[in-house]
Amino acid sequence: MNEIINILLYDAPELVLQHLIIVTIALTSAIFLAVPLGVLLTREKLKPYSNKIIAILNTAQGVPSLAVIAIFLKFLGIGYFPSIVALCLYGLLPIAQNTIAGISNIDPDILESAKGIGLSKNKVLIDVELPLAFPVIIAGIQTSAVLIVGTAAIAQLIGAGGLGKLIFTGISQFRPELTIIGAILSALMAIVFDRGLGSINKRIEKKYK
Amino acid sequence: MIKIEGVSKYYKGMDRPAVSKLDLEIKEGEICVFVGPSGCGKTTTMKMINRIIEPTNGIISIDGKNILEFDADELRLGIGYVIQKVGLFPHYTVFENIAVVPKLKGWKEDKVMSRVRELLDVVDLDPDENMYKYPNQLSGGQKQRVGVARAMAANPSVMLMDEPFGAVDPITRNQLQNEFLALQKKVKMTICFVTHDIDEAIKMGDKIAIMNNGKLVQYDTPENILFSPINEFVEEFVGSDRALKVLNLLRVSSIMEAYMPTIRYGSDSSQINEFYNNSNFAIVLNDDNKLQGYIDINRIVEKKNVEKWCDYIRTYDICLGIDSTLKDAMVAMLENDMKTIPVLDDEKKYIGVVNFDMIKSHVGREYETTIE
Amino acid sequence: MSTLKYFIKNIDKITDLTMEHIELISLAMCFALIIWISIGILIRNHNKLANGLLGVASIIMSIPSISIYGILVTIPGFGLSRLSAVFALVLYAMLPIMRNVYLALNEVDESIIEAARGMGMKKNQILWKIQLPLAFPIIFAGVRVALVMMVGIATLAVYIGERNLGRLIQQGITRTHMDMVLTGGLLVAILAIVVDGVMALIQKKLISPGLHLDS
Repeated sequence: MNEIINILLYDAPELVLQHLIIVTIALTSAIFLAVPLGVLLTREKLKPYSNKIIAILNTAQGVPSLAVIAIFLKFLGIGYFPSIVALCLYGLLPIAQNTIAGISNIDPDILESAKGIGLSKNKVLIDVELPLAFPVIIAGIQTSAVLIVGTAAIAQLIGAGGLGKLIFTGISQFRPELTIIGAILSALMAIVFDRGLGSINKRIEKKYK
Repeated sequence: MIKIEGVSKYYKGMDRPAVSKLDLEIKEGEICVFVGPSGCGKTTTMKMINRIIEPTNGIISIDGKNILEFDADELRLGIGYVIQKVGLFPHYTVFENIAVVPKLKGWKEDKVMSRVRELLDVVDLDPDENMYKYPNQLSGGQKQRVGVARAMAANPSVMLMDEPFGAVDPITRNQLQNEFLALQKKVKMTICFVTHDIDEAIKMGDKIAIMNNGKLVQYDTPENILFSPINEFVEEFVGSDRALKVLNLLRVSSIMEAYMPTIRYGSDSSQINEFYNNSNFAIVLNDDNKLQGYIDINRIVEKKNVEKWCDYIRTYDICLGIDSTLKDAMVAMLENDMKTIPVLDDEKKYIGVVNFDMIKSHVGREYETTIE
Repeated sequence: MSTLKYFIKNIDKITDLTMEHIELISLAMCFALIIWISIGILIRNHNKLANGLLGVASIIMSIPSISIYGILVTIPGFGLSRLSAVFALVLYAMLPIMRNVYLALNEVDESIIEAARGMGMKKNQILWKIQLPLAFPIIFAGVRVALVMMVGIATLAVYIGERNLGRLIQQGITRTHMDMVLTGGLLVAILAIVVDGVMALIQKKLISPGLHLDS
């Protein structure tokens, strides 16, 4: 019992913070890369291909996290920075997917009437498409956040640090309490991200109703 | 025969019963139409007959037997059921959909097959063309036909229909209604039919049960509902255009006349001269009484070409079935700019004509006698 | 290039590891199907219970898979055995399979169920002949997601003693043998994509033409 309290008091805070930083940086960069990418893929020139693109993204989403980390290891090396890059790339897909889905599912009549009242293409994007697709995009960010929090634990294998350190130490030293604490904290963090982002959506829903 | 005695249905948390102390009898082979504003309890009443909804109290019996004595599923196997959304099983072909009840009843493979073919013929769908299609390959009207065929599959003596023609366009609806009435004339099922459309009620019903707030307001023949409404509610529900609604009630069979002379195709021209003094037009028939067209006698005589009268036959663009309503007749006249339209029986044989004056005088007479 | 050389040189060992990988997920999927489909069917009319179980399932999903292994090996009876690996995989299949069974059964159009009841079909007949076939596409999609996910999670089971493609990644990292790591990563990725593709093909073959024809 004492040991658990010791871990929680002395080791955990730093590791949680580390984990949080890795996740936040990876998630933020994933958002800034994936949303514009998603928007780009729904523009008129690429629209005919959007079904194929979504199919490819769907397939890519199936690639396991450890495989993604392993594939990039050869090119990026081991350490903190490579872990973040791998996590960011892994988190890109759900956000891009949902951005595309959110924008392409908008009722064409709405877009036509937006054009009809004389909004420019950029105006339509900023004032109509993105706000309407926003809930779906947030849902993608939620998925991505949960994935990144979980995968960050595995990224310890290439030296990410964070809660993965606790979990892997527990496994290699047969100290289940370390693994359990790491798992619980990591699960909690995933849930907090999920709920936090979800509450943004709920607030928007209220506003529209 | 369906007998409903003192039936009520209470739902928790509702201030009044959905159906309240209903007494009513539907005679063997009759169509009873339940009609009323939404929430009046008409659908609830119907669903209590096959125990989709169980009544709170009261007794419902079919052919003298309390329905509670049956196992609910057994009961339903013997009752045809058609709903507005049809509810065809999307993963079954048309054949499989219609075959559900016969198969549940354990019919043999070849008997099921011949029954399905027969039923598709009955509802006017080509069996070979449609049997192996899936519901999503059918139009709304076709789905509805399959729905009716499915409900009739195992020869039920009782049929429940919940707005069965509500989801199709008006033209198809009219067509389906007429076909169904023709069908009912042959099979004589006892039918409980729910609709919110008073016009449909008047057209389809042998009896109409008007409901409001869970209570039966008037249960009577369409004529009496139209001309002797029991209170203001019924009067309002029927609407102010009763004379027009009568058109939906009366069939051409009751007013058509065979007053026009007929002549067989290819027969001797001496007949034409005989007609000349009595009539301007004559109907031309085949040997088996099938309609060929009509001739303008004056014109033929004027042209002095009586010998070759057959060259002057004109065909009709439209004919009426014997079960068409006067409304159908009026619509046909207005749309085709015709004063006289021939009427054919179920075998497409000529039996008479209707014209605008006949409709006018008949509706007027009907109106007067019933008001008195 | 060097990665390809590594691959060719070790082709026998790699084939072996791939087969082990497939064997593990097949075994886990068999259990997962039996357990989660039955439970999904059982809870279909019990919304409260279902919501509770779905909550548990989504919590399991948010726990990093590696730590589930870590916890399981310390439980007596599980240990560093195949049982731990299979059990963990089955747990992760709970959400996609059970949820899809439950949701799909409840999503079947009310009018279809009413028509079936009205025609005198018994509850069991409605379940087997109507609800399950209509729910099948969604259930299958859930199974497909679960299976692809298992390919990845199984990789991590090498940390509790399983032998599969994850081993190339694990040993490659400890030996800093980058070609080995890359080979492992690529093969796991390819396996996931192939599994997904095969499932997509089966899906097309199995689903009633009445359910996927455009109307």
